[in-house]
Amino acid sequence: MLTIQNLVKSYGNGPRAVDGLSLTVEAGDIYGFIGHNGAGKTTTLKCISGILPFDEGEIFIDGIDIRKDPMAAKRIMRYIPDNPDLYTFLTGTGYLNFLCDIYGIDEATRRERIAKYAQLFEIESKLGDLVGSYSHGMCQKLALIGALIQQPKLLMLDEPFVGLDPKASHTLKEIMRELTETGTAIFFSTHVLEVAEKLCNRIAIIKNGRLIAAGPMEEVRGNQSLEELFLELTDA
Amino acid sequence: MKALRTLIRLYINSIFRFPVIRYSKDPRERRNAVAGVVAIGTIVAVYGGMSGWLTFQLLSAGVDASIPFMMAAAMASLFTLAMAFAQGSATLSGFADFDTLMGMPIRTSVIVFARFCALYLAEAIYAAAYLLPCGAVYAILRAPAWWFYPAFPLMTLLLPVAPIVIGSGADLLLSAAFARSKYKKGITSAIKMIFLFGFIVFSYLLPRVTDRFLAAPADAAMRTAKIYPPVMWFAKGAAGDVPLALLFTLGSIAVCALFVFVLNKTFLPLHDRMSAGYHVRNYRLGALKRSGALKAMFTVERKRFFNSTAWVVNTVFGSALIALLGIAGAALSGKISVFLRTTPLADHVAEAITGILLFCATLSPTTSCAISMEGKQIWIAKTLPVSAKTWFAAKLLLNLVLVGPSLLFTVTMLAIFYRGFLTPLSILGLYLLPVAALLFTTVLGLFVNAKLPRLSWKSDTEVVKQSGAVLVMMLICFGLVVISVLPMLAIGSDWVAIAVSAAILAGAIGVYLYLRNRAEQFRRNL
Repeated sequence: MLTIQNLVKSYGNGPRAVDGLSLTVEAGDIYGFIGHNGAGKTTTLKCISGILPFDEGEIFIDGIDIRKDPMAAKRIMRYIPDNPDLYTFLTGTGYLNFLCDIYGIDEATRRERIAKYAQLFEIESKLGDLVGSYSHGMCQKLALIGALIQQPKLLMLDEPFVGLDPKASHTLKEIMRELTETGTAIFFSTHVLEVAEKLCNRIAIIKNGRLIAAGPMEEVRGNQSLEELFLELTDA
Repeated sequence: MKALRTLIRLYINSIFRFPVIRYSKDPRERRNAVAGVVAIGTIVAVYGGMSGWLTFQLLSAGVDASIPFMMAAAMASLFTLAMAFAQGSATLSGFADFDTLMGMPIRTSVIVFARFCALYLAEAIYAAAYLLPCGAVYAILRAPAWWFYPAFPLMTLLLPVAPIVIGSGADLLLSAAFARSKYKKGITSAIKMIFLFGFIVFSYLLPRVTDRFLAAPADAAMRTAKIYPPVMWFAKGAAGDVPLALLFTLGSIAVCALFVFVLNKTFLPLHDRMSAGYHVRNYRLGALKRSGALKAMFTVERKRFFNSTAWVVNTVFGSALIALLGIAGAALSGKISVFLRTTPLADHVAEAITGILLFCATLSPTTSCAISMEGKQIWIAKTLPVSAKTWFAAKLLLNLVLVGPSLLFTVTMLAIFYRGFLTPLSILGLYLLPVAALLFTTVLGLFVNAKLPRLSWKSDTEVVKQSGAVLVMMLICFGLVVISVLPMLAIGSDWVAIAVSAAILAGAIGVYLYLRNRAEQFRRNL
């Protein structure tokens, strides 16, 4: 579903934020992407989603080159940043309806999906309020609903559990598992190693822009806990 | 004091972006910041040149020294009052650093005073541009007493204080009063627009006041004093009346201190009330209408526009002025026609209408800050499966929808009611030239903003009023009016308007094609 080949990205004349990164995410994967602050996780996610141009390498979403046909690639994937700044001047419903217009979702389906996910995340009564009045966690929930109603083939999340209350975190994990059963691939960054260890079937560890470990969780982790492995690899 | 100095330095850097110019490694960001400073400098120079020239003319004609001071002070005060009313609360209570600062061990009074200083600095620079050249010309021509040299700059610095207090105070009260209304932005924008119309009408009347100054200065001074006494205190004081100079100076300081004191006492509850948004009780998901990508993008653009009072007030004014011109021009056509026939203006009606419409239609295109207004929400536009061409089209459409209908309405009204002064060819020019200029400035505004984007900001005022793209476009639009109308006046043929329209239209098409072909590249690089 997602193939990254030798991705290189620098900001201006600075050092490489991402340096020769290659990895593959298959349909149905929950792929965790971990690394210390400034390792290059967000930059990688932004390059994949078409937000940032990159210097070298190739990125394919379900076989579509993000550089050659960004529109087709964006139609089948969705990215949610760690701190989603949404349109504060729209109501929650207005924002979700706008996304449905862009993704061409018909009236009945959009109503059904919005109602379903709003109920799951317990914000249905707040959808009539302006997004500007939402808390960080509510913005995070709305952004997630916006991604889920599209039912993307590839869902990319940057620190999705930050700001969510425990129940919403649990709901999101359940939804992530459900989505992968329908063939959706999920690629997400996190600092919460316990969550990654329990949730992901594959994991990648990035350090200073370079991939230092990647593959199935059991193979990468071996007999250690993910935390022990992470500390061992990143302290080296 | 250290905290106050630090905060004031922070806000100065926010306005003029000196750290960006000095330290940014992004050449585009640096270029944007430099363009902003250069544009502010150019606008200040234009204002100063006009004020100095007018002062020279009046003093050379032998009028009392207080007259040019009174005129410059009245203009500067009105301008400052209008700007503080339009954008005061956004600076005083709308900065996004509120939580950060209130969580620090800094006294509220220091934060309040620093924000007042930020507002003051943004406005005082233009007031000083009006007044300092006026004082310099006066000093050269009339050689005043020694105390004028330190007192005049001090009084000049104090002049914007009272208008800022009145304007921003009124804006704060207005924002607080409608904070919980669903239509708070629409209501406050409408009230501000009505106020600004009053400001423009009053400015229009100023030349007549000038005539009265020349004929009967004492009478004119009394009239001005009745409207806003500090202007007379300033003018008389600067011209040598020491008690009035002291009254003005001490009065301005007292007003500032009182405002900061009251704001300090009410800052937290005021901010609390203003940040309380509109909430729906027992909300139930209703019917959801479906629309295409362009319409959806346009709707978002329209809502973003009307959600920003600063953006509305700064840009929709030209459109409203055009509509007013059409209605007033039609309603008063009888009287105006009689007046025109008695003056040489009768031969230049087409040029006059074209010039006015051009000025209003290109006053401040919404596109010059349409990209910058995306701010940190830019990630949405960049990740959606919508082409950059569609994204740009929605932004272009907004300006055309705001200005186009009122422009066509007014041209039609004026062409009907003033047909006695116009030829068929001049009527064609009347339609073509403003429309071509509108198209040109709309696409050029977006192009300039794509080249000089400012996506990181704390208050929309920073983008709408102080960003490089907006200031550069302001100068370009002003230049476009001059170079469009001058050939018409110089050559005197109706064909000139057609030729100029064709040239501007060709420019508009050229810029549009360039923008369209590189739309993806522009968006990717944001």
